[in-house]
Amino acid sequence: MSFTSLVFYLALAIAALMFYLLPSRWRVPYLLAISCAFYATWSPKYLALLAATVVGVYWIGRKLHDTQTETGKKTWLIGGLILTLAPLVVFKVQAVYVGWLAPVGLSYYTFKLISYIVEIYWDDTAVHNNFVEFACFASFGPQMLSGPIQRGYEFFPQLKDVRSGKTDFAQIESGLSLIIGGLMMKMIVGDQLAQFVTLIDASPGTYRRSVLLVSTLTYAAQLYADFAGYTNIAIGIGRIFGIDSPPNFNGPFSAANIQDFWRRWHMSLTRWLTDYVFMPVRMSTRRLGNAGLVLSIVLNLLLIGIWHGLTWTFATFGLVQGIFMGVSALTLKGRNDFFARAPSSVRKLRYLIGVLATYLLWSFSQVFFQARTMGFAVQRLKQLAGTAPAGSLGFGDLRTDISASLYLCLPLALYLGAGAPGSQWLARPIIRFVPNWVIYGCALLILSALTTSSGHSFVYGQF
Amino acid sequence: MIRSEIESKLTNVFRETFNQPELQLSPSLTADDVEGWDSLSHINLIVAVEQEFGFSFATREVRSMKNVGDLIELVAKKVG
Repeated sequence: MSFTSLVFYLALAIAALMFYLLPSRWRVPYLLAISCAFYATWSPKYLALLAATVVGVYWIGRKLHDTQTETGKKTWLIGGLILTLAPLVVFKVQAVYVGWLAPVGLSYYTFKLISYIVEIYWDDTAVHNNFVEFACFASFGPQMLSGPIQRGYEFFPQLKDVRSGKTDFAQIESGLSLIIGGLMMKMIVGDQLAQFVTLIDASPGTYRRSVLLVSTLTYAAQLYADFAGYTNIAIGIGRIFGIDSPPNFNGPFSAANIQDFWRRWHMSLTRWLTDYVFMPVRMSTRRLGNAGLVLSIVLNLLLIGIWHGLTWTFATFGLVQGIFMGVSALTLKGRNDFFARAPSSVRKLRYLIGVLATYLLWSFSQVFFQARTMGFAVQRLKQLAGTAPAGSLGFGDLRTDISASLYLCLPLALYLGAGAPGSQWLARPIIRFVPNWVIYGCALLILSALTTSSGHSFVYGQF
Repeated sequence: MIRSEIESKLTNVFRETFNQPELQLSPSLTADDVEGWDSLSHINLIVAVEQEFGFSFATREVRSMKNVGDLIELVAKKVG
Protein backbone atom coordinates (compact mmCIF):
# COMPACT_ATOMS: atom_id res chain seq x y z
CA MET A 1 0.00 0.00 0.00
CA SER A 2 1.49 3.30 -1.07
CA PHE A 3 1.98 6.21 1.30
CA THR A 4 -0.07 8.31 -1.13
CA SER A 5 -3.19 6.16 -1.13
CA LEU A 6 -6.32 6.84 0.86
CA VAL A 7 -6.68 3.14 1.66
CA PHE A 8 -3.31 3.21 3.38
CA TYR A 9 -4.39 6.01 5.71
CA LEU A 10 -7.65 4.30 6.56
CA ALA A 11 -5.71 1.16 7.42
CA LEU A 12 -3.18 3.23 9.38
CA ALA A 13 -5.91 4.88 11.44
CA ILE A 14 -7.39 1.49 12.35
CA ALA A 15 -3.94 0.01 13.06
CA ALA A 16 -3.01 2.94 15.30
CA LEU A 17 -6.29 2.77 17.18
CA MET A 18 -5.82 -0.93 17.86
CA PHE A 19 -2.22 -0.29 18.92
CA TYR A 20 -3.34 2.07 21.67
CA LEU A 21 -6.26 -0.17 22.72
CA LEU A 22 -4.00 -3.21 23.14
CA PRO A 23 -2.48 -4.03 26.54
CA SER A 24 1.01 -2.56 26.44
CA ARG A 25 2.81 -5.90 26.62
CA TRP A 26 1.33 -6.83 23.23
CA ARG A 27 2.34 -3.63 21.48
CA VAL A 28 5.78 -4.70 20.29
CA PRO A 29 4.59 -8.05 18.83
CA TYR A 30 1.71 -6.11 17.29
CA LEU A 31 4.17 -3.66 15.65
CA LEU A 32 6.02 -6.65 14.21
CA ALA A 33 2.76 -8.16 12.95
CA ILE A 34 1.56 -5.00 11.20
CA SER A 35 5.04 -4.43 9.75
CA CYS A 36 4.91 -7.92 8.25
CA ALA A 37 1.37 -7.31 7.01
CA PHE A 38 2.48 -4.05 5.41
CA TYR A 39 5.43 -5.82 3.80
CA ALA A 40 3.11 -8.49 2.48
CA THR A 41 1.04 -5.87 0.65
CA TRP A 42 4.17 -5.03 -1.35
CA SER A 43 6.20 -8.25 -1.68
CA PRO A 44 4.36 -11.27 -0.25
CA LYS A 45 6.75 -13.67 -2.01
CA TYR A 46 9.76 -12.11 -0.37
CA LEU A 47 8.40 -11.99 3.15
CA ALA A 48 10.01 -15.41 3.56
CA LEU A 49 13.39 -14.00 2.46
CA LEU A 50 13.07 -11.14 4.96
CA ALA A 51 12.10 -13.59 7.71
CA ALA A 52 14.97 -15.96 6.92
CA THR A 53 17.51 -13.14 6.83
CA VAL A 54 16.23 -11.72 10.12
CA VAL A 55 16.42 -15.12 11.85
CA GLY A 56 19.89 -15.73 10.41
CA VAL A 57 21.26 -12.36 11.49
CA TYR A 58 19.76 -12.68 14.98
CA TRP A 59 21.46 -16.06 15.38
CA ILE A 60 24.78 -14.80 13.99
CA GLY A 61 24.57 -11.78 16.30
CA ARG A 62 24.30 -14.10 19.31
CA LYS A 63 27.26 -16.19 18.07
CA LEU A 64 29.33 -13.08 17.44
CA HIS A 65 28.64 -11.94 20.96
CA ASP A 66 29.51 -15.31 22.51
CA THR A 67 32.74 -15.91 20.58
CA GLN A 68 35.81 -14.79 22.48
CA THR A 69 38.59 -15.11 19.90
CA GLU A 70 39.37 -12.49 17.27
CA THR A 71 39.44 -15.15 14.54
CA GLY A 72 36.08 -16.44 15.66
CA LYS A 73 34.61 -12.94 15.67
CA LYS A 74 35.97 -12.25 12.19
CA THR A 75 34.46 -15.50 10.93
CA TRP A 76 30.99 -14.70 12.25
CA LEU A 77 31.26 -11.14 10.95
CA ILE A 78 32.10 -12.37 7.46
CA GLY A 79 29.30 -14.94 7.67
CA GLY A 80 26.85 -12.25 8.65
CA LEU A 81 27.99 -9.96 5.86
CA ILE A 82 27.64 -12.74 3.30
CA LEU A 83 24.16 -13.65 4.55
CA THR A 84 22.94 -10.06 4.35
CA LEU A 85 24.76 -8.89 1.23
CA ALA A 86 24.16 -11.95 -0.96
CA PRO A 87 20.47 -11.24 -1.71
CA LEU A 88 21.25 -7.55 -2.26
CA VAL A 89 24.10 -8.27 -4.68
CA VAL A 90 22.11 -10.95 -6.51
CA PHE A 91 19.13 -8.67 -7.03
CA LYS A 92 21.22 -5.63 -8.00
CA VAL A 93 23.21 -7.68 -10.55
CA GLN A 94 20.20 -9.44 -12.05
CA ALA A 95 18.43 -6.06 -12.36
CA VAL A 96 21.00 -5.20 -15.02
CA TYR A 97 20.67 -8.43 -17.02
CA VAL A 98 17.25 -9.92 -16.22
CA GLY A 99 15.16 -7.10 -14.80
CA TRP A 100 13.20 -8.67 -11.93
CA LEU A 101 12.00 -6.20 -9.36
CA ALA A 102 13.93 -6.44 -6.13
CA PRO A 103 12.03 -7.18 -2.92
CA VAL A 104 10.69 -3.99 -1.42
CA GLY A 105 13.00 -2.46 1.17
CA LEU A 106 15.86 -4.89 0.44
CA SER A 107 18.55 -2.20 0.46
CA TYR A 108 17.17 -0.59 3.57
CA TYR A 109 16.69 -3.59 5.80
CA THR A 110 19.98 -5.08 4.58
CA PHE A 111 21.83 -1.98 5.73
CA LYS A 112 20.08 -2.03 9.11
CA LEU A 113 21.08 -5.66 9.62
CA ILE A 114 24.70 -5.06 8.53
CA SER A 115 24.95 -2.17 11.00
CA TYR A 116 23.66 -4.50 13.75
CA ILE A 117 26.28 -7.18 13.03
CA VAL A 118 29.20 -4.76 12.65
CA GLU A 119 28.26 -2.96 15.88
CA ILE A 120 28.40 -6.28 17.77
CA TYR A 121 31.77 -7.05 16.16
CA TRP A 122 33.10 -3.75 17.46
CA ASP A 123 31.33 -3.86 20.81
CA ASP A 124 29.54 -7.01 21.86
CA THR A 125 27.22 -5.18 24.25
CA ALA A 126 25.35 -4.13 21.09
CA VAL A 127 23.72 -7.56 20.86
CA HIS A 128 19.98 -7.66 21.48
CA ASN A 129 18.59 -10.74 23.19
CA ASN A 130 14.90 -10.39 22.38
CA PHE A 131 14.00 -11.89 19.01
CA VAL A 132 10.60 -10.20 18.66
CA GLU A 133 12.12 -6.78 19.32
CA PHE A 134 14.98 -7.50 16.94
CA ALA A 135 12.59 -8.62 14.20
CA CYS A 136 10.54 -5.48 14.82
CA PHE A 137 13.66 -3.36 14.34
CA ALA A 138 14.65 -5.11 11.11
CA SER A 139 11.19 -5.08 9.55
CA PHE A 140 9.80 -1.83 10.98
CA GLY A 141 7.09 -0.88 8.48
CA PRO A 142 7.42 2.91 8.24
CA GLN A 143 11.15 2.65 7.46
CA MET A 144 10.87 -0.25 5.07
CA LEU A 145 10.07 1.45 1.76
CA SER A 146 12.94 3.96 1.58
CA GLY A 147 14.43 4.36 5.04
CA PRO A 148 15.51 6.30 7.05
CA ILE A 149 18.15 3.71 7.96
CA GLN A 150 18.04 3.47 11.75
CA ARG A 151 20.58 1.86 14.11
CA GLY A 152 19.63 -0.81 16.58
CA TYR A 153 21.03 1.17 19.48
CA GLU A 154 18.65 4.02 18.59
CA PHE A 155 15.62 1.79 18.08
CA PHE A 156 15.73 -0.68 20.95
CA PRO A 157 15.64 1.86 23.81
CA GLN A 158 12.45 3.33 22.32
CA LEU A 159 10.72 -0.04 22.59
CA LYS A 160 10.98 0.26 26.35
CA ASP A 161 8.50 3.12 26.27
CA VAL A 162 6.29 1.21 23.86
CA ARG A 163 6.28 -1.81 26.20
CA SER A 164 5.51 0.39 29.19
CA GLY A 165 2.36 1.68 27.51
CA LYS A 166 3.51 5.27 27.40
CA THR A 167 1.33 7.45 25.15
CA ASP A 168 3.03 10.64 24.03
CA PHE A 169 0.35 12.87 22.50
CA ALA A 170 2.86 15.52 21.48
CA GLN A 171 4.79 12.86 19.57
CA ILE A 172 1.63 11.59 17.89
CA GLU A 173 0.61 15.09 16.88
CA SER A 174 4.06 15.88 15.52
CA GLY A 175 3.81 12.61 13.58
CA LEU A 176 0.50 13.68 12.06
CA SER A 177 1.83 17.06 11.03
CA LEU A 178 4.93 15.43 9.52
CA ILE A 179 2.71 13.09 7.49
CA ILE A 180 0.59 15.95 6.22
CA GLY A 181 3.66 18.10 5.50
CA GLY A 182 5.34 15.20 3.73
CA LEU A 183 2.32 14.46 1.59
CA MET A 184 2.07 18.09 0.59
CA MET A 185 5.74 18.20 -0.27
CA LYS A 186 5.50 15.06 -2.36
CA MET A 187 2.19 15.71 -4.07
CA ILE A 188 1.95 19.47 -4.33
CA VAL A 189 5.62 20.18 -5.01
CA GLY A 190 7.45 17.03 -6.10
CA ASP A 191 4.85 15.60 -8.44
CA GLN A 192 4.17 18.96 -10.09
CA LEU A 193 7.87 19.48 -10.77
CA ALA A 194 8.09 15.91 -12.05
CA GLN A 195 5.50 16.72 -14.72
CA PHE A 196 7.77 19.42 -16.14
CA VAL A 197 10.98 17.39 -15.90
CA THR A 198 9.38 14.27 -17.43
CA LEU A 199 7.91 16.31 -20.28
CA ILE A 200 11.31 17.75 -21.19
CA ASP A 201 13.03 14.37 -20.80
CA ALA A 202 10.60 12.74 -23.21
CA SER A 203 11.92 14.84 -26.10
CA PRO A 204 14.85 16.98 -25.00
CA GLY A 205 15.93 17.68 -28.57
CA THR A 206 12.82 19.78 -29.22
CA TYR A 207 13.44 22.31 -26.46
CA ARG A 208 15.71 25.33 -26.32
CA ARG A 209 18.86 25.26 -24.22
CA SER A 210 17.34 27.55 -21.60
CA VAL A 211 14.48 25.09 -21.04
CA LEU A 212 16.92 22.18 -20.82
CA LEU A 213 19.02 24.08 -18.31
CA VAL A 214 16.03 24.85 -16.09
CA SER A 215 14.86 21.24 -16.36
CA THR A 216 18.32 20.00 -15.32
CA LEU A 217 18.33 22.39 -12.35
CA THR A 218 14.75 21.45 -11.45
CA TYR A 219 15.48 17.75 -11.12
CA ALA A 220 17.44 18.20 -7.88
CA ALA A 221 14.54 20.19 -6.43
CA GLN A 222 12.01 17.59 -7.58
CA LEU A 223 14.06 14.77 -6.09
CA TYR A 224 14.34 16.64 -2.81
CA ALA A 225 10.60 17.32 -2.59
CA ASP A 226 9.81 13.70 -3.41
CA PHE A 227 12.35 12.06 -1.12
CA ALA A 228 12.09 14.52 1.77
CA GLY A 229 8.32 14.28 1.46
CA TYR A 230 8.51 10.50 1.72
CA THR A 231 10.95 10.71 4.64
CA ASN A 232 8.65 13.04 6.58
CA ILE A 233 5.74 10.66 6.04
CA ALA A 234 7.85 7.68 7.15
CA ILE A 235 9.10 9.48 10.27
CA GLY A 236 5.58 10.73 11.00
CA ILE A 237 4.05 7.25 10.82
CA GLY A 238 6.76 5.92 13.12
CA ARG A 239 6.00 8.65 15.65
CA ILE A 240 2.33 7.68 15.71
CA PHE A 241 3.48 4.34 17.09
CA GLY A 242 5.91 5.93 19.52
CA ILE A 243 9.08 5.38 17.49
CA ASP A 244 11.24 8.26 16.35
CA SER A 245 13.42 7.80 13.25
CA PRO A 246 16.69 9.53 12.34
CA PRO A 247 16.46 12.47 9.93
CA ASN A 248 17.37 12.23 6.26
CA PHE A 249 17.50 15.90 5.34
CA ASN A 250 18.66 19.11 6.94
CA GLY A 251 18.30 21.90 4.43
CA PRO A 252 20.73 20.45 1.85
CA PHE A 253 20.40 23.40 -0.50
CA SER A 254 21.82 25.70 2.16
CA ALA A 255 25.18 23.87 1.99
CA ALA A 256 28.05 26.03 0.72
CA ASN A 257 30.35 23.11 -0.06
CA ILE A 258 29.95 19.50 -1.10
CA GLN A 259 31.09 18.10 2.28
CA ASP A 260 28.35 19.99 4.06
CA PHE A 261 25.88 18.95 1.35
CA TRP A 262 26.41 15.28 2.09
CA ARG A 263 25.93 15.96 5.82
CA ARG A 264 22.47 17.30 4.92
CA TRP A 265 21.31 15.00 2.07
CA HIS A 266 20.11 11.43 2.65
CA MET A 267 21.78 11.72 6.03
CA SER A 268 20.97 8.24 7.29
CA LEU A 269 22.70 6.70 4.26
CA THR A 270 25.69 9.07 4.49
CA ARG A 271 26.02 8.25 8.19
CA TRP A 272 25.81 4.54 7.46
CA LEU A 273 28.48 4.67 4.76
CA THR A 274 30.71 6.93 6.87
CA ASP A 275 30.62 4.55 9.83
CA TYR A 276 30.72 1.19 8.05
CA VAL A 277 32.65 1.87 4.84
CA PHE A 278 34.53 5.16 4.89
CA MET A 279 35.90 4.90 8.41
CA PRO A 280 37.25 1.31 8.17
CA VAL A 281 38.68 1.99 4.68
CA ARG A 282 40.19 5.27 5.87
CA MET A 283 41.75 3.49 8.84
CA SER A 284 43.38 1.01 6.44
CA THR A 285 44.68 3.78 4.20
CA ARG A 286 45.65 6.24 6.90
CA ARG A 287 49.37 5.85 6.35
CA LEU A 288 48.98 6.76 2.66
CA GLY A 289 48.50 10.48 3.33
CA ASN A 290 46.32 12.44 0.91
CA ALA A 291 46.25 9.60 -1.59
CA GLY A 292 44.62 7.42 1.06
CA LEU A 293 42.12 10.14 1.88
CA VAL A 294 41.09 10.65 -1.75
CA LEU A 295 40.92 6.89 -2.36
CA SER A 296 38.63 6.40 0.64
CA ILE A 297 36.40 9.27 -0.40
CA VAL A 298 36.10 8.17 -4.04
CA LEU A 299 35.36 4.58 -3.00
CA ASN A 300 32.72 5.73 -0.54
CA LEU A 301 30.92 7.90 -3.05
CA LEU A 302 31.26 5.35 -5.83
CA LEU A 303 29.44 2.94 -3.52
CA ILE A 304 26.72 5.52 -2.92
CA GLY A 305 26.37 5.72 -6.70
CA ILE A 306 26.16 2.00 -7.43
CA TRP A 307 23.96 1.35 -4.37
CA HIS A 308 21.27 3.03 -6.47
CA GLY A 309 21.93 0.57 -9.33
CA LEU A 310 24.73 -1.31 -11.06
CA THR A 311 24.80 0.93 -14.10
CA TRP A 312 27.39 3.19 -15.72
CA THR A 313 25.22 6.22 -15.05
CA PHE A 314 24.97 5.62 -11.30
CA ALA A 315 28.65 4.74 -11.12
CA THR A 316 29.54 7.95 -12.98
CA PHE A 317 27.32 9.90 -10.60
CA GLY A 318 29.22 8.41 -7.68
CA LEU A 319 32.60 8.96 -9.29
CA VAL A 320 31.83 12.59 -10.12
CA GLN A 321 30.70 13.21 -6.55
CA GLY A 322 33.82 11.43 -5.31
CA ILE A 323 36.03 13.75 -7.34
CA PHE A 324 34.16 16.83 -6.08
CA MET A 325 34.42 15.62 -2.50
CA GLY A 326 38.10 14.71 -2.91
CA VAL A 327 38.92 18.18 -4.21
CA SER A 328 36.91 19.66 -1.37
CA ALA A 329 38.67 17.56 1.24
CA LEU A 330 42.06 18.67 -0.06
CA THR A 331 41.27 22.36 -0.48
CA LEU A 332 38.43 23.42 1.83
CA LYS A 333 40.56 23.99 4.90
CA GLY A 334 42.96 26.18 2.93
CA ARG A 335 40.09 28.15 1.46
CA ASN A 336 38.47 28.57 4.87
CA ASP A 337 41.76 29.82 6.34
CA PHE A 338 42.11 32.28 3.45
CA PHE A 339 38.64 33.73 3.95
CA ALA A 340 38.79 33.73 7.75
CA ARG A 341 40.58 37.09 7.60
CA ALA A 342 38.21 38.61 5.03
CA PRO A 343 35.55 41.19 5.98
CA SER A 344 32.09 39.87 6.85
CA SER A 345 30.54 41.07 3.56
CA VAL A 346 33.11 39.06 1.58
CA ARG A 347 32.45 35.98 3.69
CA LYS A 348 28.70 36.37 3.13
CA LEU A 349 29.28 36.66 -0.61
CA ARG A 350 31.53 33.62 -0.49
CA TYR A 351 28.77 31.70 1.28
CA LEU A 352 26.19 32.64 -1.38
CA ILE A 353 28.55 31.72 -4.21
CA GLY A 354 29.27 28.48 -2.41
CA VAL A 355 25.56 27.64 -2.12
CA LEU A 356 25.04 28.33 -5.82
CA ALA A 357 28.17 26.42 -6.85
CA THR A 358 27.23 23.42 -4.70
CA TYR A 359 23.73 23.29 -6.21
CA LEU A 360 25.20 23.54 -9.73
CA LEU A 361 27.75 20.80 -9.08
CA TRP A 362 25.03 18.62 -7.57
CA SER A 363 22.74 19.23 -10.57
CA PHE A 364 25.59 18.43 -12.95
CA SER A 365 26.19 15.07 -11.30
CA GLN A 366 22.44 14.43 -11.25
CA VAL A 367 22.45 14.46 -15.07
CA PHE A 368 24.07 11.03 -14.76
CA PHE A 369 21.87 9.98 -11.85
CA GLN A 370 18.71 10.73 -13.77
CA ALA A 371 19.69 9.57 -17.26
CA ARG A 372 18.51 6.20 -18.57
CA THR A 373 21.83 5.55 -20.30
CA MET A 374 25.25 7.17 -20.57
CA GLY A 375 24.26 8.20 -24.10
CA PHE A 376 21.34 10.22 -22.74
CA ALA A 377 23.54 11.84 -20.09
CA VAL A 378 26.29 12.79 -22.54
CA GLN A 379 23.72 14.09 -25.04
CA ARG A 380 22.12 16.27 -22.35
CA LEU A 381 25.51 17.69 -21.34
CA LYS A 382 26.36 18.40 -24.98
CA GLN A 383 23.03 20.15 -25.48
CA LEU A 384 23.62 22.24 -22.35
CA ALA A 385 27.12 23.11 -23.50
CA GLY A 386 25.87 24.02 -26.96
CA THR A 387 27.90 21.38 -28.81
CA ALA A 388 24.78 19.43 -29.77
CA PRO A 389 21.74 21.00 -31.41
CA ALA A 390 18.85 21.98 -29.18
CA GLY A 391 15.28 22.57 -30.30
CA SER A 392 13.16 25.64 -30.66
CA LEU A 393 10.37 25.20 -28.10
CA GLY A 394 10.62 27.64 -25.23
CA PHE A 395 8.86 28.29 -21.92
CA GLY A 396 6.05 30.03 -23.77
CA ASP A 397 5.29 26.77 -25.60
CA LEU A 398 4.64 24.87 -22.37
CA ARG A 399 1.07 24.14 -21.33
CA THR A 400 -0.08 26.82 -18.91
CA ASP A 401 -0.64 24.43 -16.02
CA ILE A 402 2.86 22.98 -16.39
CA SER A 403 4.61 26.34 -16.57
CA ALA A 404 2.49 27.70 -13.70
CA SER A 405 3.40 24.68 -11.58
CA LEU A 406 7.06 25.20 -12.45
CA TYR A 407 7.09 28.89 -11.51
CA LEU A 408 5.28 28.21 -8.23
CA CYS A 409 6.82 24.92 -7.19
CA LEU A 410 10.47 25.37 -8.12
CA PRO A 411 11.08 28.36 -5.82
CA LEU A 412 9.06 26.61 -3.11
CA ALA A 413 11.08 23.40 -3.45
CA LEU A 414 14.35 25.34 -3.37
CA TYR A 415 13.14 27.25 -0.31
CA LEU A 416 12.17 24.05 1.49
CA GLY A 417 15.41 22.38 0.41
CA ALA A 418 17.38 25.25 1.91
CA GLY A 419 15.76 24.49 5.26
CA ALA A 420 12.85 26.93 4.92
CA PRO A 421 14.74 29.85 6.55
CA GLY A 422 12.47 32.14 8.50
CA SER A 423 9.49 29.81 8.29
CA GLN A 424 9.07 29.61 12.09
CA TRP A 425 8.83 33.39 12.20
CA LEU A 426 6.48 33.49 9.18
CA ALA A 427 4.22 30.81 10.62
CA ARG A 428 3.92 32.38 14.07
CA PRO A 429 1.02 34.75 13.27
CA ILE A 430 -0.84 31.93 11.52
CA ILE A 431 -0.32 29.49 14.39
CA ARG A 432 -1.38 32.08 16.94
CA PHE A 433 -4.66 32.91 15.29
CA VAL A 434 -5.66 29.82 13.35
CA PRO A 435 -6.45 26.68 15.34
CA ASN A 436 -4.45 23.57 14.46
CA TRP A 437 -7.49 21.67 13.29
CA VAL A 438 -8.24 24.32 10.66
CA ILE A 439 -4.70 24.12 9.30
CA TYR A 440 -4.80 20.30 9.20
CA GLY A 441 -8.29 20.32 7.71
CA CYS A 442 -7.29 22.64 4.86
CA ALA A 443 -4.20 20.58 4.18
CA LEU A 444 -6.21 17.35 4.10
CA LEU A 445 -8.79 18.89 1.74
CA ILE A 446 -6.06 19.95 -0.67
CA LEU A 447 -4.45 16.55 -0.45
CA SER A 448 -7.63 14.59 -1.04
CA ALA A 449 -8.26 16.68 -4.15
CA LEU A 450 -4.83 15.69 -5.38
CA THR A 451 -4.89 11.99 -4.45
CA THR A 452 -7.07 11.05 -7.39
CA SER A 453 -4.95 12.92 -9.92
CA SER A 454 -1.51 11.86 -8.71
CA GLY A 455 -0.29 8.50 -9.89
CA HIS A 456 3.38 9.04 -9.13
CA SER A 457 5.27 6.60 -6.99
CA PHE A 458 8.23 7.65 -4.88
CA VAL A 459 11.54 7.95 -6.72
CA TYR A 460 13.52 6.29 -3.89
CA GLY A 461 11.17 3.32 -3.70
CA GLN A 462 13.01 1.78 -6.64
CA PHE A 463 16.39 1.61 -4.84
CA MET B 1 53.32 7.93 31.55
CA ILE B 2 51.26 9.89 34.07
CA ARG B 3 47.79 11.17 33.23
CA SER B 4 48.72 14.87 33.15
CA GLU B 5 51.54 14.19 30.69
CA ILE B 6 49.12 12.31 28.42
CA GLU B 7 46.62 15.15 28.57
CA SER B 8 49.29 17.74 27.87
CA LYS B 9 50.59 15.85 24.83
CA LEU B 10 47.05 15.28 23.57
CA THR B 11 46.25 18.97 23.94
CA ASN B 12 49.22 19.81 21.71
CA VAL B 13 48.14 17.22 19.16
CA PHE B 14 44.60 18.64 19.05
CA ARG B 15 45.87 22.21 18.79
CA GLU B 16 48.14 21.33 15.87
CA THR B 17 45.68 19.07 14.05
CA PHE B 18 42.82 21.58 14.16
CA ASN B 19 45.00 24.72 14.00
CA GLN B 20 43.52 26.09 17.23
CA PRO B 21 46.36 27.25 19.51
CA GLU B 22 43.96 28.10 22.37
CA LEU B 23 42.01 24.85 22.39
CA GLN B 24 41.41 23.35 25.84
CA LEU B 25 40.52 19.70 26.23
CA SER B 26 37.86 18.41 28.56
CA PRO B 27 36.57 14.85 29.03
CA SER B 28 33.16 15.69 27.54
CA LEU B 29 34.60 17.44 24.45
CA THR B 30 33.35 15.97 21.16
CA ALA B 31 33.65 16.70 17.43
CA ASP B 32 30.54 18.90 17.69
CA ASP B 33 32.48 21.29 19.91
CA VAL B 34 35.55 21.76 17.72
CA GLU B 35 35.47 23.55 14.39
CA GLY B 36 36.99 21.49 11.62
CA TRP B 37 36.69 18.19 13.49
CA ASP B 38 34.59 15.95 11.26
CA SER B 39 34.72 12.45 9.81
CA LEU B 40 37.29 13.54 7.23
CA SER B 41 39.70 15.14 9.70
CA HIS B 42 39.05 12.59 12.46
CA ILE B 43 41.56 10.13 11.02
CA ASN B 44 44.18 12.92 10.79
CA LEU B 45 43.74 13.28 14.54
CA ILE B 46 44.02 9.52 15.05
CA VAL B 47 47.24 9.35 13.00
CA ALA B 48 48.69 12.32 14.91
CA VAL B 49 47.90 10.66 18.27
CA GLU B 50 49.44 7.38 17.07
CA GLN B 51 52.63 9.17 15.97
CA GLU B 52 52.85 11.17 19.20
CA PHE B 53 52.55 8.14 21.50
CA GLY B 54 54.05 5.47 19.24
CA PHE B 55 51.20 2.94 19.05
CA SER B 56 48.43 1.95 16.63
CA PHE B 57 44.67 2.07 17.13
CA ALA B 58 42.36 -0.70 15.97
CA THR B 59 39.22 0.39 14.08
CA ARG B 60 37.16 -1.03 16.94
CA GLU B 61 38.97 1.22 19.42
CA VAL B 62 38.51 4.33 17.26
CA ARG B 63 34.82 3.51 16.95
CA SER B 64 34.40 3.07 20.69
CA MET B 65 35.53 6.60 21.55
CA LYS B 66 32.58 8.92 22.06
CA ASN B 67 34.46 11.90 23.51
CA VAL B 68 37.90 13.14 24.51
CA GLY B 69 37.52 11.47 27.90
CA ASP B 70 37.30 8.08 26.19
CA LEU B 71 40.36 8.96 24.09
CA ILE B 72 42.40 9.86 27.19
CA GLU B 73 41.38 6.57 28.87
CA LEU B 74 42.30 4.57 25.78
CA VAL B 75 45.67 6.27 25.37
CA ALA B 76 46.41 5.72 29.07
CA LYS B 77 45.58 2.02 28.68
CA LYS B 78 47.77 1.65 25.60
CA VAL B 79 50.85 3.39 26.96
CA GLY B 80 50.51 1.29 30.10
